Amino acid sequence: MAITLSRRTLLASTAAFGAGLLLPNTAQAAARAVVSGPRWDRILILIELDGGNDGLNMVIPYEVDEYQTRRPTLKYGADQFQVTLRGQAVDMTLGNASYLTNKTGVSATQPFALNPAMPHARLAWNKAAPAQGDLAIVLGVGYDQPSFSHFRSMDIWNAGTKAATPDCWLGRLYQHADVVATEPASLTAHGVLLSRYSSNPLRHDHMRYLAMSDPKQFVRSSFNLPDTATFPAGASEQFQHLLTTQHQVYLAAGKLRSAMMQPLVAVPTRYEDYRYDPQLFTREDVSFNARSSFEMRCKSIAEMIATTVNGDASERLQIPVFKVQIGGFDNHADQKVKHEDLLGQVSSAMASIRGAMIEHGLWERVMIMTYSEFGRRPEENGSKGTDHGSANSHLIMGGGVIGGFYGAQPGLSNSSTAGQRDLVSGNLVANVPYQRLYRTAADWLGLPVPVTDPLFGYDALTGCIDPTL
Amino acid sequence: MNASNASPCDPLTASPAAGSGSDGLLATLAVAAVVAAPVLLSGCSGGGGGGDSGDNSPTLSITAIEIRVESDAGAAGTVTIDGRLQPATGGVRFALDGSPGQAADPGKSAATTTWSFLAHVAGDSNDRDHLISINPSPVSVAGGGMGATMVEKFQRARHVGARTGFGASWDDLLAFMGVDYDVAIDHLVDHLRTTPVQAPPDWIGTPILSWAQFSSLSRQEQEAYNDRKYPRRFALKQWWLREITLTPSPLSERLVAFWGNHFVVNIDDIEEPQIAWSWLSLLRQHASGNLRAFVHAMALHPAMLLFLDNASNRKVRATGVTSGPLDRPSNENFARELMELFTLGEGVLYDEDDVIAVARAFTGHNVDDYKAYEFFNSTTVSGKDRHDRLDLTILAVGPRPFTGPEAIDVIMEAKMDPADEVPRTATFIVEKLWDEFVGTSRTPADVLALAKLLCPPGSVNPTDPTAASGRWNLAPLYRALFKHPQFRDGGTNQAAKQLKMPMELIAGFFRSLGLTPKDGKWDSPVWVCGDEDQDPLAPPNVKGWLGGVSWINAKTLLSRFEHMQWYGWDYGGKIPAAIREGFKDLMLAVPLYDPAKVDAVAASDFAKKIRELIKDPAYQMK
Repeated sequence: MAITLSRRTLLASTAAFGAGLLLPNTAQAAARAVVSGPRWDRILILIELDGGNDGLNMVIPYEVDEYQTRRPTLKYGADQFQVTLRGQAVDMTLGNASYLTNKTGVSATQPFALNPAMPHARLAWNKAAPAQGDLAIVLGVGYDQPSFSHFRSMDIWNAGTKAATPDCWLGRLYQHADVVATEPASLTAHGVLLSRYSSNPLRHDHMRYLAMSDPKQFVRSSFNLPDTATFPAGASEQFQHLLTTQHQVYLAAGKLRSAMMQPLVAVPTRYEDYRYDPQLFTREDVSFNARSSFEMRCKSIAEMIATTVNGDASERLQIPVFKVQIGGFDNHADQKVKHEDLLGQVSSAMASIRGAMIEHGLWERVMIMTYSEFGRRPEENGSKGTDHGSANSHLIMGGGVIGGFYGAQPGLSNSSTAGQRDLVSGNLVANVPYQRLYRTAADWLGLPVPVTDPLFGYDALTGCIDPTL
Repeated sequence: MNASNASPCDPLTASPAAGSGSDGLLATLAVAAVVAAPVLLSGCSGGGGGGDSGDNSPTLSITAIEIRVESDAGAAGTVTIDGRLQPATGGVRFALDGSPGQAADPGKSAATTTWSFLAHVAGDSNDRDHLISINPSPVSVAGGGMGATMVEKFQRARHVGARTGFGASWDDLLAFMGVDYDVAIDHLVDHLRTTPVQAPPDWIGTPILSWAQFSSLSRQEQEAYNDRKYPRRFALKQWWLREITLTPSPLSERLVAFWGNHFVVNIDDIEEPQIAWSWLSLLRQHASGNLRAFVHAMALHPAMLLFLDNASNRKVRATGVTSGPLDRPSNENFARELMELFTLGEGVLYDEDDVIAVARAFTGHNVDDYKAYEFFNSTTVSGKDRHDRLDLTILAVGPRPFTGPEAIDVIMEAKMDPADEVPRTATFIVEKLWDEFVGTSRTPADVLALAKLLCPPGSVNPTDPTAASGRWNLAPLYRALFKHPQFRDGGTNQAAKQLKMPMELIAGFFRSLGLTPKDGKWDSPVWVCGDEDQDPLAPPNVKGWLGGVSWINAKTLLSRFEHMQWYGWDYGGKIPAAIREGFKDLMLAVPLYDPAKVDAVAASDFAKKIRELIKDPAYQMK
């Protein structure tokens, strides 16, 4: 199977050009002003889990008593983690990870498992030697004094700060003068948004980003689009926005079109009911499910990354950031089946991107990261759903990602010992600031974080990026 | 000029002809001529029109015009028109029956007809000869043929039409221009509709089955029942777009769109098309009424109960607790959005404890087996004891027991500061209306002044059961908002121009040009709106569409560009001849970005001219 290419093989094949590009280790990161410089060959794919993903039922501390008691209808038990994928047994358990409980003041470990709807993603975990695994799971991600509003909290996530700013985190980092100075003329766009365009971590006046649901459609409908490089005198802000967007589309569509005149690289698809049922996964290859518009958008991402310009394999579309959203996570009622459907799509899409990238020799250039406005409350509500919560689990997958657990699962106990309790107003308490995910991604992309930026002062996740690439 | 303000109609289409005197006695005269135009209906005798037979350009007869001449000589200056004495109120009516000396019925859409008459003011030495144009062409009005005042009126009228009514048709414009600006606004607000003009879909009365009834059906019957839901919701979206193009009160539908994007429900999420219909009707019923009644009705409507999960909100114990009071709500989704999105604004005045308390107040406000609202507040009937009757404190009011509606009244009356003249909800709503319709930066003073019209200081707090006052009435607010100089001057203020939302772009295209989809079907326009990220009645989340610049990104821009190309091919040639002369003035709020593209097309190829015009970015603006 194509996706079982081992880490060691990858490292061996890339060592030749990897040596000169070492990222400094994270212990030094806080002290340095500038990393070694933007890595325009690298790619970040952000998956927005829109509505507030229930991280507790994605990465499940199934032996914690409070988990079992607070989730009477939504819980998963230890007997539910042996599933079958394409006729093969997959063990969804992940081994032990840190469990932080203030109640006892003692950190302990607990066994965790991935939601049984996510066998594809589990295949990237493989902690057994020699492969390190490509999947990092970050526990306890969030921020202090959390907002429980979908919209405010997603604004905070996209901005990378609680401060009011029109510019979002990737926009700020890409528009730093040191980065702009290195921007290649061949850059197609800074990024592409494939859904929920209003939620945009790239937002910045000078960023060039495209929004599309399907690149082929984008290329078709941009044919004949005139350029609008200048504003008429007195044009309103909204009219200027329209003309600016059209100008950007005009520029980028030209590049995209010349690349896409070639037949697109083939990334396989399958057709199956996307309601999660492992028995239905029968194809041997990694493939995107054509019944899921989210997976089809992820397929478009894989195709855009893999597509060569004018048939020249050394030249590709230069788009460093992709953002795709999958909605439906706000499950206040009857959560379980809906959540499994969604997680199944996320898992399948991530694994399929991985498989396609490995097949094209590009996996070591790609990092996939999930984000979501908040997690859900540990205690399920009376409607077999969950209400808005705070700290959450997130996934990072990539050819340069050192797999394993990062952070710690916040404790689930609401009883107090010596005045200490785990939950605040029934919600989990974060121990990994979400900005650390962004620092990790910034290091991956080689983007320096200026001292003036709100992300400065946060470290990347220690050891999450393979320094040898 | 004061005299003219008193007249029911301004001289939209009248101009002094040669020979009129100029000694100042005769100020203005008023003419009513276009029967189809609602503002001008009063005082005009005209054949009614048309009705709806699938063609939204009904033929209308103009059977008479009524003329009133205002003189600044006041009561002393008795006026005669063509020798007939003008009464103290009203005007002199002339039939248009084609008899000698009379014009024939020009209809609504016929070419310009002129009508001349003599007016005489007692004591004046001259008769005044005047000429009236009936059915003037857009170009003769907008082009300055009517003088600078008329151009300004035209621009304002077009602006009002574009910003309050999906884009005015030529008939709408004539109506707006016929009267003073404030009179036109009053007319729009006075004539808001609470009912649609189309017949409702024929399935709205079909019963929603209970689970027991559904379960008793055969598998085939169940599938047939379920398979009817989506096509009906899709049909409802089409029905609404058609309503927008047909209604004589496009502001009514524009407000339905606004409030539907405030009290957000995604009809595709709630599934039952009958409930979707009922929700849409509720919006229209309350959009011109009382905000408090609106919030109360919306909160307990099955569409909202289902969409934000209050249908399953009942009193429970904390998970794992097996005894003691049922002092937790099972679902707080609605309570949070009620405060965050519907009344107070995110994090304003309330905290997480208030969310829980309001959710507890709303426990038991659920739906029955047939998905109709039911309050489960019985201590004696098994299964119906779902409402939390314990003491609650909501926004510092209490402790006492609350029902959901009682909680709404506390929330709506909550003030940022006890000394404030108006509750927070009033300023919150004003801010949202301002941003949507005016769009310029607003000052707290602007907001407060408007909020005081929504909640007049001294009006009785409606939580007092004896209250009956103008508190929370929306009409005075709309009136003042649309009369506000910042809104009014948006017609000529380029810097205030806004992007059209997809429904304005698409439904407005049909409405403003008097067109219907080529095969009479509205499925394609609904699909096009969705492709431009405004699937009608199905907003992306509970916050609704954000509007403004968020309408345009690389994806939606291309989507609009592509659809406008189709529309150019499909409809450009069908634009009625009567408005071809002035199509640019009628269709554009800002000058063409690339006028050469349109001007280079020969006048004989009008369809191609339209194709070029609607592809120009300028057509996206309102």
